[in-house]
Order: sequence, then C-alpha cells, then structure tokens
Amino acid sequence: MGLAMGQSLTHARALFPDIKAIETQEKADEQDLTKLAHWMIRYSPHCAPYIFGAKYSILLDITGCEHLFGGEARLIADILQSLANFGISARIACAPNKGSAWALAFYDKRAKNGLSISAGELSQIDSLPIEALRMNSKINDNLHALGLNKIGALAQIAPNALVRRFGPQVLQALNRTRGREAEAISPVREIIPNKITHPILHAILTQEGLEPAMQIAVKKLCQLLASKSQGAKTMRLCFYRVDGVVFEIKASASLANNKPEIWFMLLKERLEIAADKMDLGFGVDLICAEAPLALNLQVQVVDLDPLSAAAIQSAEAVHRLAERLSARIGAKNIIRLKPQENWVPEQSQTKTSALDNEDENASIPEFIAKRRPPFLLKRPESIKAIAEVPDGPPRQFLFRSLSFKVKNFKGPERIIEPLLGKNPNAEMPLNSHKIRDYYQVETQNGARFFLFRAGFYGGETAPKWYVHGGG
Amino acid sequence: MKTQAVLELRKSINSIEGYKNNCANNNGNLPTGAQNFDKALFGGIALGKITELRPDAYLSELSMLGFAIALAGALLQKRAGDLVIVNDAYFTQEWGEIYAAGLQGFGILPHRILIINPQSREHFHSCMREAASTNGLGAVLGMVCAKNGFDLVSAQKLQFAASQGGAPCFLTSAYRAQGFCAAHLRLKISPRPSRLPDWAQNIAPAALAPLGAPRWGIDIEKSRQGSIGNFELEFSDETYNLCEPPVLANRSDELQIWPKTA
Repeated sequence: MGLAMGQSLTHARALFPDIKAIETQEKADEQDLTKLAHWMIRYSPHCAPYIFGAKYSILLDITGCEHLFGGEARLIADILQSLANFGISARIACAPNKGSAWALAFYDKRAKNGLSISAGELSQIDSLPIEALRMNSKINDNLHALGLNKIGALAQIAPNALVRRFGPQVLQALNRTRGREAEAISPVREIIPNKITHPILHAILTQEGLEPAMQIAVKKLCQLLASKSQGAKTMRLCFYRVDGVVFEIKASASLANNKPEIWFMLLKERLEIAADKMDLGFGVDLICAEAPLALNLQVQVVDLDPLSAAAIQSAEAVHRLAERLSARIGAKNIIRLKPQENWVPEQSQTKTSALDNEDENASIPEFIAKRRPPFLLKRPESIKAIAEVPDGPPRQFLFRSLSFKVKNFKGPERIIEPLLGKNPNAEMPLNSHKIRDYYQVETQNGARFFLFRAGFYGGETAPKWYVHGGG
Repeated sequence: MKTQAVLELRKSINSIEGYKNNCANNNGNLPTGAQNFDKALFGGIALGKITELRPDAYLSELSMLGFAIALAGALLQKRAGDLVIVNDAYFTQEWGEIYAAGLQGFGILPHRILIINPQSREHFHSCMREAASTNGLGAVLGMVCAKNGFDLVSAQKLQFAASQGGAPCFLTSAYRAQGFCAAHLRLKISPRPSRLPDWAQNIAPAALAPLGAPRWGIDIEKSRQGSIGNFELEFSDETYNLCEPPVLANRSDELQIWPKTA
C-alpha cells in the first residue's frame, strides 16, 4: 500500500486522500498491555509487558509451566485462541531465550500460527533482518549501508571487529538474541511461592456462585500452607474473567494462620464490599489464591491454668475481631495506640493498624500518665484567660463562649523549645512559641481541662492560652 | 396461680426483649469498688448488658467520657481482656482523641486498647454488635452521637449481641442523642468539684487549691435489676477503683464530752 511507520500524515494523505487519522494514545495502550499481562499470569507467574519502539509484546517465561497445559504446542494454541476471542490477533514464538523469542515473534512469518523452536534450531534466526536485534535505528541504518541486512551476515564477523567498528551494543544485542548473554524478565507482579490456581469448568456468572469456588480455592491454599507449617498474614484472590479482565480481593489477618474458615469469612466480607465494583461479565473461569505474606507458625502451648487459658483465648478473640472489622471497614480504621518517648503531648503517641501487632507492651512512665487527660484535642483551641503574671495558673477563662472559674489546678509542666523543635508538626500553629506551660485545671463545677500557655507575660509578644484536652 | 402467670408473662416479655430466661443476670455482675453504688445495682455493673451513660448538659459530655474511662478502668482491674472503643467523629471533634497516656492514668495500659473508627451509621451499628458479641473482651465502649442513635430494633439487636458476648458494654450518648431504649442501666453523669487532698486542707481560700481525685455525680435513671438513686463517686488512682468519698463529720461535740484528766 505504501504506508509505513514514521511516515508523515501529509504523505499518507497524498497516497490515500480518504485516510482516517486517529491520534495514538500511548499511555492507554501501555495500560491495556499491562492489564493483559496481568491476565496472562494465569499461564506463568514470570510475565511482563515489553514495549520496544512501537512494538508491543508480552514476555512469558514458561519454564516448568507448559506441562500444566499439555505441552508447549497446546499452550501456544490455548493462548492464541483466548486472544482471538478477545479480538486480538497475536503472534507467538517460543524459544530458549528472550531475545530470540522476540525476534521470531515479530520477524518470522510462521509466528502467526504459533512457533516453537528448540535450542538446536536457534540458527533459524540467522535469516531474520537486523531489526530483530532490538538496536536503535541509527545503528540499523549504518549496518544496512554496509550491506549487513541479516543477522546471519552480522554473526559471521569476528566479535572484536564488530565492537571496534560498531560499538559494544551490537555485540551485546547479537549475543542476547543468540542466547549467549542472559536477559532477565522483570515480572509484572511479584512472584509468590504460596499460590494455587483453581480452574472452573463452566464460567461463573454470579457472586453467589463464586463463593463455593472461592471456598475451595482458599481451602487448597490453606492445605498448601499447612503442609509447610506456615500461616498466611495476607491472602489475595484473583478472579480471571473469560474476557481478559482480572479482579482481585485481599484480606489481612492479625495473626498468621492457615484456617480456611477464617480466611473464607474475611475474603467473603471483602467480596461483598467489592461486589458493586465487580462486573462478572461473561463469567469467571479461573481463581488464583495466593499468600503474599506467609510466616512460620509457632506452636501454641496449651496452658492448664484456667486464668492463663482465658487470657490466651481473650487475646485470640481480639485478634479475630480486629480481622473481621478491618475486612469490613478497612484496616486503617482499626487502630492501636503506641506510646512514644516524647514530652510533647500530641507527639507522645502514634496510631498503628491493629493488624500489625508487634506484641510490644510499652507503657508510659507513671508520673507522666498522671499528668495527662484521657482526651486530647487534635488541634488546641485558643481561649482567653486571666492568669497570674508572669507565669501563674489561669484564674478564669473563656472557652466556647462560656466563662469558667478555676478552682483547683495542677502544674505547670513546662515543655521547652528544643523538644518542640525536634519534631515539628506542621499542623500545629504553636511551634513558633518558645515554651508551653501545661496546667490541669478544675473549674468550680468540677469540669476538668488540660490547658497551656504559650510564651510568657512581659515578653516580646503576648502569651496565648489554649485548651488541649480534658476529661 | 396469678403469680405464676405473671412470672410466665415476664419471662416471655424478657425473651422478646432479647434477654435470657429471666430477669436475673445470667452473666453476673462486676463490682466497681464503690460499695453503696454496687449495692444499689445488686452487685455492680451487669455483664452482657448495655449500660448507657448520659450527660446532664452539653459541657458534661467531657466529664461523662472521663467517667466512662474511669468505670472501664475499674472493671478492667478485675477482668482480663482488652477495652474495645467504638469511636465517633463527633466526640473526637468536640472533646479530642483518645489519649493513651491519660487512659493509663485510669489503669488502662495502651496495649489493652483497641480503637475502631467506623465511617458511617451502618458501620457503627455493625461494629458495635460485632464487638459486643465477641467473647473474651474486657469491656466495650461505644460513643453515640445524635447521628448514630439506635432505634428500637437496632437497640434490641445490640442488647442481644451483648448478652452473647458477656462483656460489660457501655454506651456514652451525646447530650442531644436519642436515648438507648434497651439499656439495662442508665446513668446520668454530671461533674462534681473534687475534694481537697488532706495535706492541702489549710490552704488559704483565696489561693487556687491543688487538684484532688476526679469526682462525678451519678444519677441512676433506670435500672432493670437494682434500684435508682444518686451517688457521688471518686476515682482512686492508687487502687484504680471507683470509691465513695468519705463524709466529713464535725467531731467538736465529741471532744467536749471526753472526761477531763486530773
């Protein structure tokens, strides 16, 4: 037809005036290729999308996987058939290394119907053009100018001469294609050893139908983990839709375990939440269950003392509760408080997810605990106060438009600049002040507040009073 | 015969309301440490039942939260398990986040606290039910704002879940929040000025006095098992228990009748 890659649109229009021009969407293409690569994980976990110039490909390392599909030929036929069902016309080549497979897939005509060559037949790539070596166009032009059009012609030149004349890239490209230099595939998703696949004969179209299949997949994975004396901390289920879309749901446990009933319950909860976003379309024909994080299980000693046994049971109950609720409302909403060694009240605790239990029973020194209120405002509220000068406790203060007379107090607890400056919190407007004097005060009717004064009376700027908590 | 019929009727009403066979508490009671208060409640806070705490005014909400923590702290001294707090954004915004250091002052160590932050009313109710029905927890504390109030059906469901779990279950209601109709015990909390420590009795009245133990006024508004009444309770940070403040007595007359020594 005379149309070619890199041609200008004017030139193309001169050849075919009615040509329809559509702008390429490289990002969208890349995204689609990545999605397809995720779906192709069903054939091998070593799966990666690969783009060279305008050539889009997916690399699959099928070492050890082909027998699961009845041999290489059947695997290739299955992939071709599936992609044809999606409306994708693909070229497939199966070779001992990445470079030769890529070269054959793009430049060998037989790849249309699927091509497989063994290590002994690798010399077949000699007849392919030098573009199959994946070098930049400038080097290709130079080689063409010298009449080196085929890989075979290039291979006959001595390696040292090749490097001297064209640089090291040509030799490297040649070696990679001929399998003399290894080239790694970086998988689209991490490789998880604890993984099982559960193929489904008739595609499942409903969520109700999915649950029993899911139960079997979870049970299989739990059996695999149990055989290794391991327990999963997180579990992921991937649902492969027949039309190439993959959904996944993930659940985490507070304690590593391999009990199928617990995992099924957690994953079912996640499935129900994700149900609105999941369109099962023409059905799901494969479920993959994997445990990205698995730990060795420790043997639990059964305590005969009823009190200790009750404590163990109680700890287990809390973990299970945290797991169930985090599956329902999200792990970030189930938290535990972790004390930090810091005098500044708002920095003396951090929140951690209840599922990341580290079994740390940290406590706060008693003398600090007795000076702190049970509730601390996220952001201190500014108040107006009448107080003894220069650094006495407040006598009266105005908080939320109400006036309070102070009757009793405890303090001050002075927190000075170096500590405040050590870990400044951007949200706090108070770090510009040099000191904070904290007071626990009780008003005439008995309400308790945790107040502080930032700065001194008589200083360059007037001090400010804040309520920081109470209870 | 009539008594028998009334008993049968009571049984069936109780079973409809989500209670077990009879009015007596099957899960038992846990004493708070304040003797008269426990006596009025027939042994203390009922396990596996909902205890509702209400403030007497908007500003008493903070004191009510303080009392809830003190009550949970007192019970956790006698009971294994963690304190599960189902938090509410209203209380966090109005009165602050739960502060581990302050809770330790009431005897609740940080690793015994599990905080749940539900994001909607439905999640709040389901988290409360899930926590209340879990066996082996130390105590469950739910904070109910006006938006998350329980209607008749959800209240009964929660009460039923609590009777399965068997842990003491508290609900702290915001001032304007709808009352919890299935509450086993409803306490109205108001702040009370603290008592001066013994060593500070001679401080001049004009000076600010040092802080004593926190004190609350408790009105038992409803009790399915005990009697109603008013109490003043203090929290002792030595024993981590609730107690009734000692009544001051004027003993000057007693001094006069002492026999004079020769």
